[in-house]
Amino acid sequence: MTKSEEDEEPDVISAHKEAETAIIFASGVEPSVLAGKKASAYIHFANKGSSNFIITSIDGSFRYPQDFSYVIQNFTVISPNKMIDAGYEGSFQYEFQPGELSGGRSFGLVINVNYKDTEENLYRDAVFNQTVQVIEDEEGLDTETFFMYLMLLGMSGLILLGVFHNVSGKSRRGKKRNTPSANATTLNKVQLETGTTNGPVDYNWIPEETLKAINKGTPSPRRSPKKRANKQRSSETE
Amino acid sequence: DDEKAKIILVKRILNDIITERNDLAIEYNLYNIGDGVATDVELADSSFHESDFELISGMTSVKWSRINAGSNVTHAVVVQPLRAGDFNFTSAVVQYVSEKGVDVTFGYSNEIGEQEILSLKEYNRLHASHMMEWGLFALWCMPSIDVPLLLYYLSKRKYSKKVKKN
Repeated sequence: MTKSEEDEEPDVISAHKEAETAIIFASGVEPSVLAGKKASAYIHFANKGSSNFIITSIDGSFRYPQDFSYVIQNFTVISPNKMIDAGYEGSFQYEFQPGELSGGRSFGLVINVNYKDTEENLYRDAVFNQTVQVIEDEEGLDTETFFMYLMLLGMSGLILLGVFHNVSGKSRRGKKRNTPSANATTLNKVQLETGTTNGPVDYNWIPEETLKAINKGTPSPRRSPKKRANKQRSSETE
Repeated sequence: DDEKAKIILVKRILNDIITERNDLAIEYNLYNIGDGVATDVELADSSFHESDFELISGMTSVKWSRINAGSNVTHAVVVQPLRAGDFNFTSAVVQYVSEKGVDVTFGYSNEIGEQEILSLKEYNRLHASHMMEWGLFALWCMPSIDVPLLLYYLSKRKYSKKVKKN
């Protein structure tokens, strides 16, 4: 292979003049390409000639808009391997998914149909070759933002809890501080904690059988056996 | 100018999972991307043979008298696969008259290719609601939840009796 041939190699393969291709997208004639979302292209291949063609593969790629020979992203190649007889037409569906970070920029979108005739001559037809604007995918909740909001929610909850705790704690402390002083000034008497010795004890919550048992004088298991023995003896003497 | 119709036929499976003895919806989209009206349009799909599929609704052969330039038509068929295993979904065929006084044009749709048809057993294993399993799970969970609940309830009843009286 000579050098000139090598240089020309991408241009050597061209479309057959008796094969016509056309394309539309799921979004219409103009492709609406969303970053990170699948886009569908429908390709029409009409064999107007007298020889059969075999569609070997369809490939798509994003090119640098200023230099279409510079490939930025290659899309999945499909290989229909479908024979389109002379005079027949064929439709193909080509799905591609632009990278998630490609939004908000324009790219050269190239979709090639590669086919051969029965004599193994290769042809390539660039069925789409235009600069398209890739739209950023605004809709939908991706995991990153979801967890960001979740964290913000948790943090605000924590802050709220902290504030609430602080405020309620202060007010309770304030009450405690206020009541004894008020008593001291009005009644001139310092309150002393006397336990339950001279205050009314609330027995309401204790069930009847337990109260009965207390009144009977059943020794609590906490008492030492020695004491229990003493009590028994004293009751015997009575 | 020659105003010729040009029809793209796209065949698509609407189901995410294809299962034996369950409905499988196929959609056909015909786009007339040409400049002229397509007349005597006939769509036929012979890939659902009686030995493999049962036709539930729709027709595998349809006719439209005309499809205007720039418009599209959708047709759907519902079938039920009779057997599990891989199945090669091949092209549907469309024929139409692209302009007056011209022979009929034949066109193939895209090929969906080989798709797996899941057996019912496999489908149930993967996607059923598993009511039986969850029921048993709940049953096994009951002792560890109900026994403490019962203890709590008994003690609560015992101690709240007095308060009610007052």
